[in-house]
Amino acid sequence: MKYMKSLIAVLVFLIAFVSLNAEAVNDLFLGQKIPFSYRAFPLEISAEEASMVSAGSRIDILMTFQAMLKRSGRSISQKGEIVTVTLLQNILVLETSKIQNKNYIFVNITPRDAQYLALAQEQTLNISLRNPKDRKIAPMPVAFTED
Amino acid sequence: MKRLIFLSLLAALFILPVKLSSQENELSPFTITVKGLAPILILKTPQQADIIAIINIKGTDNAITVLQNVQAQKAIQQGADSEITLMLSKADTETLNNLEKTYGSEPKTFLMTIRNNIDSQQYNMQPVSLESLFR
Amino acid sequence: MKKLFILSLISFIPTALFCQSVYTNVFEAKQDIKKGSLISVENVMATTKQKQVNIETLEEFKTIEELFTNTRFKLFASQDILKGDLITPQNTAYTAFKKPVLDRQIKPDTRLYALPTPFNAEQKIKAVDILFKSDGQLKTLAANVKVLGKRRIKKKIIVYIQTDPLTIQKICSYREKGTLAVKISDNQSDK
Repeated sequence: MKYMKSLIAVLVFLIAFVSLNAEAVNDLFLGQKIPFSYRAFPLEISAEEASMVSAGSRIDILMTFQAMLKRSGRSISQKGEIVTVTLLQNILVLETSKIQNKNYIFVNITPRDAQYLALAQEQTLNISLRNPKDRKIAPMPVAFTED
Repeated sequence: MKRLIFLSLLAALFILPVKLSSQENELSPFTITVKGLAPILILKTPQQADIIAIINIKGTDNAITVLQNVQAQKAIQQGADSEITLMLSKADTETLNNLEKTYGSEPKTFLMTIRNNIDSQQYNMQPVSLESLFR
Repeated sequence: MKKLFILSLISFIPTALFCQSVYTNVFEAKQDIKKGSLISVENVMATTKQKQVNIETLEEFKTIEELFTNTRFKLFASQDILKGDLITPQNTAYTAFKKPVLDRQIKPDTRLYALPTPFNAEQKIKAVDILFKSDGQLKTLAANVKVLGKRRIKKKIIVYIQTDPLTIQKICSYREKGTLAVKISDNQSDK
């Protein structure tokens, strides 16, 4: 009976220890918002784009780059052609922030998409805003500049 | 005998926090430069992170997740980029030090993504290129 | 019962000591901050005075951290703050930024895109034409595109245009290629 009391005291301590520590550890705001198996990827955007998004917004991410294209009936310019593609669709914005006049959004993406987005940092990226209820994802054609 | 048991229990209460912190002692700090200033915003408190490296392999830029679920401690501004401190195991430190040997060239740049604090799942990540996306 | 009580009390001492030292989300001023100044990463930093932080004030400091990191709010000093002082609800106040709530107005299968324009804030803009300047000629990229809202940012008027995703892609690629011209559409009726 006496040992039972000691055991109860130890259990009470362990519960208190875990819960109080959990309070301190869970105070990391972004780390809590990210769903399991997703990642928060920081994306720098323009002031105009930042003015239309907030945490909870759903966006498409567009990438503009120079592509060497084979198009029927046309010769390929040595410079390549400027094209824009929709790289990622229906992406959730977890958080927005600003540092030294640079606007950042933290987008919720899979680890694989994070790799593609990392590569896309070398190109020009833009965002377009969706209605938050519009979750449709569809194959998107490429937009050309040489029509 | 009773006193012995009581003292053992009490000792165990003190050992538990020490044991938790000793796990940190198996990790060593390692600094890398990450593109952009976002880490300055994120790392006001330590976060669990993945590190992606952009490496040129046979003339094509590839993105490879080189580290998963590592603790990123703090960030200091280095011009337009951030120098971040990671707490790495010996194995992870070796992975970073051997990137050139593994892939044939030095990483051009590193990027950081953040995980949920308690998501420790690791995946078998393959390198990707933008060309593979449009093939 | 008495022994159990004493045992529990002894158990809580390492807990309390250990937990206080792990809490880190408290900010202190890294320079003197005048009353009315914005609180930002430029003038505050995570405090080195962790051991002095009382667990009872945890909620207060949590609130400050949430306001500080949330871009919807502007945190500023409500009194003069000296270098080294902790940032607390007592020496700060906050205001909320009013962002236009545009996303719920966007029609399905369309997207919103932010476009800088040469217009004035006073001009009423319901729809715009977007053109590309090339070899002294203007090529129309999109005509009579609906404008959901406008806002002044850094001395420029930004319009938020609602159109299909492919048109937005086209605008982005021509914007990269050269200069766009935006004019108020002659047909100002709602599309």
